[in-house]
Amino acid sequence: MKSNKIAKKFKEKLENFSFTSKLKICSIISSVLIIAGILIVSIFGFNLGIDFVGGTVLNVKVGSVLEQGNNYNIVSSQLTNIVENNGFKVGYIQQEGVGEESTIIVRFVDKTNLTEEQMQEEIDNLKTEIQSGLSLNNETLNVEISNGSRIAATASRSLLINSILAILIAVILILIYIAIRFELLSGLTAILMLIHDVLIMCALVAVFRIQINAGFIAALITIIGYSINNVIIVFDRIRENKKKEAYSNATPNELANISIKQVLSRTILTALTTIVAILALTILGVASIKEFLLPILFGLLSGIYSSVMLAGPVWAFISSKTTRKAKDKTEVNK
Amino acid sequence: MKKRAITKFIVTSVLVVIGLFLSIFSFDIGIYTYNGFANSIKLGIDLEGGVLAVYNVKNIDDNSTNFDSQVQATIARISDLLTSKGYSEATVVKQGSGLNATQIRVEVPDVEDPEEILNLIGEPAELEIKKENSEEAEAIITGKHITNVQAGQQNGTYGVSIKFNEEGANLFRELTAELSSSNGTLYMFIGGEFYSQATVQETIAGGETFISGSMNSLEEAQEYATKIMSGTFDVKLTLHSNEYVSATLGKEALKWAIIGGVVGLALIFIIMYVVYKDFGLIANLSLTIYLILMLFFLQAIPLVQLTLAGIAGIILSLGMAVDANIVIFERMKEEYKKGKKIPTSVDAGFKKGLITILDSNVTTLIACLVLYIFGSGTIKSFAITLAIGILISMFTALVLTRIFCKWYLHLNSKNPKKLNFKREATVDEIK
Repeated sequence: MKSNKIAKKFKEKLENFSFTSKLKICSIISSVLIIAGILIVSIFGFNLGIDFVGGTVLNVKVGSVLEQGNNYNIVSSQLTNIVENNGFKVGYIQQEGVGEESTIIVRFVDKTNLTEEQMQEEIDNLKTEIQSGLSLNNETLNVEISNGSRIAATASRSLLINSILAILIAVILILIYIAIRFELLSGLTAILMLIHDVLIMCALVAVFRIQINAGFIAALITIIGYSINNVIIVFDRIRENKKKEAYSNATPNELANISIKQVLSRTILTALTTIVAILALTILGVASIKEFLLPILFGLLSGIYSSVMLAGPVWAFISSKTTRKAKDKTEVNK
Repeated sequence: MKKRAITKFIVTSVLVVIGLFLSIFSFDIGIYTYNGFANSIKLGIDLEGGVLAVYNVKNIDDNSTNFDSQVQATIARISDLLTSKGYSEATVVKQGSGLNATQIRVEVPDVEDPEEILNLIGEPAELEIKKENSEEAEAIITGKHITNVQAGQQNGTYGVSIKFNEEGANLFRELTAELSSSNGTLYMFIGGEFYSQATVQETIAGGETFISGSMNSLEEAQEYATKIMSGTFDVKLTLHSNEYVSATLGKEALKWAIIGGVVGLALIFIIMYVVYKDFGLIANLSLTIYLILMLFFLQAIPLVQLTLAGIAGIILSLGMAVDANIVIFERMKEEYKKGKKIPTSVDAGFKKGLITILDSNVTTLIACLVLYIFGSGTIKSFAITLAIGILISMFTALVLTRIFCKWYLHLNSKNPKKLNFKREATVDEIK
């Protein structure tokens, strides 16, 4: 019963809520986030991972003790500490094999300013330290370490540039399609939202120091897809309402507010299902999956926020500015 | 009518269960082993590990103007070469652009030894046939005149048989005709170095010849065949790097990712049921069919290789499939709220939802097409899985869900509680 009351109250509040009047505060929030992101990126740069820099993988064979109790967590955190104390960024660490073959695989990012020989020297040092540095119950573990195979940087700068170019062309075509099916202003607003979501996503990725590997490009275009999809739902409703006689005298602000409210339950439900699914994958997944899905999650949240709080209001803001100008002009002409 | 609708639902559900079984499990039927489609999806280099080789590309003659098309032709030939040796999962792409920065990137999944790729593509070496034994002498026949090279044995000696194209065949006939009159000698150079010579006794027509020499085994002949074949490319390739790339996701990690996916999906199913009751069940049926079709097409379409980016494409298209159902059901609820009857609301829901879904999906399809044409590697893989996913999701949401809803209306067209449909107490839309 109580929850029913809350729902009723919420409904009443929503009925009178004006999304367009919150445009100012929302654009300030977004701007602050984006500027903070740009600052962080320009000061610290992105946290580039193995795919872009190249790295080394070490297989540390521990044996069946690794499978008992909490041992994997203990040993792998010791291992992470050793690798990081040597100045390497751990890419990810995972368990493979069973029984006597139980092995911890650790990958770390190469230091960029070293020559091949220096790198090899550092790896040899690291191996000696691991050899003596892993222990369980105060007893040093006897481990076997593989010969540190090098991982090539699989994602080159040219791959990134190529991808961004492809995305740009795609965005232009999307703009044309929306301009034809809806109107130019909707298309421009959609692109603006898309840029907003991508920037917020990059800002959060930079803030949380999430490693950027080849999968990040995929995460980026996934968010572009979500963003466009979400915004189109809002514009679709505005387009439909515009044609209705009941709204023929409605201002852009009123149109936007009504339309956002009408599609709100869809937006929330779709967001809920996607976020729940991605959260499940993120929580259960290993590090490499996490670093791939967390950016998607950030972008998703930004996409939901921008499609509800920004897309409609921004459209209404520009729309009312331009129609007022047009009206002023006709009045002057009179 | 009611009975028929129930039968239809039961038959569909049984078919879906069989479909799920066929996609997930592998089993033996007599001597034939059936592999569930989920298991036969080809994995990309990032999920499976493999060998990655990068070649620098250089123009052969400086005044050539169609460098880009030559690079494309070379890429096609390398792909053919790898496919013909059974590495159909290999991907060959161009990276960078311009005369000095173009590279060709070859990824062969599931191969562990980088040497292996050298055996496949090799350090390309051009075969040249000359009239004089000197490195500077003009070559009469070069790599561009050769269409096929095969290792073989003739009269007990190992060698390579070479097949010329039309121009090459003519040149070779003229050359041998000229030389045979004087019992002259022709000289073969491989990779710019003298390899062997032969005394010509008769005119050789037919556009084929067999070169033996100092090859001692079939393996050695094979090596030469590969080298010469690679030397027929339109551009000059030099090996830039050649390394083993380990899988981003180990087998263990992949298992957890799949478990995570299943849990996520189960949660979606539960939410759909809680929110839409019976129609939620219908949506879940459609989504399950979407999954089966997705797995089927992922393994059936030869271009598709599942990579991490491809998984992103699947997640996005699954999200859009769920969204399509939500858009339709929300529309129905809205229409019902306004005072329509259940069947009319259902109809209106599909009609009005259709435009919304088409517009948002077509936009994404346009993006896929562009990304597929202009993107490379990861991006291509993303674009193709997403495009397949969107087409299937449109089919399941707009066609299957609609059919199921029609069947359902025979079972219940009066009780809104079973669908969570509610009337608004006060209808005041316009304020």
